[in-house]
Amino acid sequence: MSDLTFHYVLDCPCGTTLTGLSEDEIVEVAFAHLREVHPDMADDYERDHVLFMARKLVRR
Amino acid sequence: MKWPAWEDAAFYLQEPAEMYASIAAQRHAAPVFWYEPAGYPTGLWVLSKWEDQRFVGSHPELFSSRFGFAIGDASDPSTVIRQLPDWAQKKIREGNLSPAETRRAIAHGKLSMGDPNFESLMISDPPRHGQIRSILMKALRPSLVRSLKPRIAEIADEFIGEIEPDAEVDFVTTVGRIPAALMTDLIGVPREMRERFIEMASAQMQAITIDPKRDPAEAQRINKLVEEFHSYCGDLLSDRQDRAGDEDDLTSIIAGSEYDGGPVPHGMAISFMHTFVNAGETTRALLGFVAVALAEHPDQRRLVAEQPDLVANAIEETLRYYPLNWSGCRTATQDVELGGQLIHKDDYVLMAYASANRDEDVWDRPDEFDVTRSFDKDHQSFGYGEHSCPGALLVRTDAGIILERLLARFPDWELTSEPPRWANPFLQGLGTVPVKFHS
Repeated sequence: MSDLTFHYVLDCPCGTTLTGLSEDEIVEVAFAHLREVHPDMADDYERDHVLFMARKLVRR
Repeated sequence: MKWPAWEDAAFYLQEPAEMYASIAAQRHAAPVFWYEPAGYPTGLWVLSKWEDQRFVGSHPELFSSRFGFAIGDASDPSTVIRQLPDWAQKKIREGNLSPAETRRAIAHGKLSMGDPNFESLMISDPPRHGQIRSILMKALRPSLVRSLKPRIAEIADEFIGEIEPDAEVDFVTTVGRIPAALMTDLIGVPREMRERFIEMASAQMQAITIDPKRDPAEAQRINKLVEEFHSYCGDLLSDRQDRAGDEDDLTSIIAGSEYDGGPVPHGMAISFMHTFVNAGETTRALLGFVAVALAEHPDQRRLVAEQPDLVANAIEETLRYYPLNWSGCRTATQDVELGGQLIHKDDYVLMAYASANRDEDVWDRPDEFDVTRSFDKDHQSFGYGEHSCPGALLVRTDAGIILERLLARFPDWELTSEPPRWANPFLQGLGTVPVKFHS
């Protein structure tokens, strides 16, 4: 078993790549991005939506 | 080192190591390169670097999608005109079209299903593009994709359960059929029509790949299947419109959507159904390459089997290493300087995804397959920006669940012979992948 570490990566359709070290962090980062860049869509997403779209990928 | 012949299928069919060496040579020496394909009426710019492709993808106001999206759209019209509907042939024959307008006539013609008023997602720009895409994304919304996870796992287990251990099988027609089965279910195609529907939909995919070297008999076969596909989709749509919300499949979502204050135009609705099918076909092709890559790298397959958290990474690495779509094109809307070169208004620009995915400025050891690779930057295999693949979330979800279920049942497999790869200047895939699965 390797000792790889992971983070959460979410590619916003606007082109911005968002990352977070934990589920809580990626949700926080995603909502901050929504509020700042896409305020009209901020109410369309819930925590579960963000976590579903985020990919858990290897972090170096 | 000979530089890439981006317009020639033979270039993509050579040994991958040679092909990528050629691509790298051009990327190193001329990252923004004016290329004149043999037999093409005009040249085009080839962008080899990840950074330049990202710039183009994020600036639709500078680089339009209206005037073609694939290298074949810039072909000499006389070599492809017979593959186009009558209205597009007439438009081209009348002449007086600029090179950009000719590309649009070719691209629009091949997508139009015979309707000159057809509005296509692929060859539209903001804000119209956003309006069309929002209808499609309503059907492919994250909450719906998320709700599919148990169904994907159920279908995957059903198909994988039929595979005999240690017997030679074709991965493409066993595991590879899972995404198509799921997608036809989602579209609302009855089970008995599943195989025929997939055949018709594959023909539609071939039809949008303009190829001057296509055999006329093959072109005729494709056109016949495409007509059948449109007719079948039309009937399915009418049925869902009549039922007005009785069903909850993707066709019903499109049938119940609005565009410009009215129902979604018929051609556009069919093109959305085609996109759904493509998501299934893309997943099938991706899984084929996953099977090959993990068979050729058994140490990495064992790592993913032991650590399922790596499944998503393995999918991304396969997408990077084996791009299903070689490139995408745009047309400059004004003079733009890129990489020290002046790209003029109306020039055609090819983003070589296969090159960006091996760009040394982005990827360590780019020619190595490594499921533990860090994806601080995304690969280009789904494109980028407004026109990135609308089905990417579904493809990733589908492929990830199927791979996880497969590894849980068969942590070991081997190729029993070399899988034949097919390629044209736009796409690649695997015809068959002969394998033996071991428990």
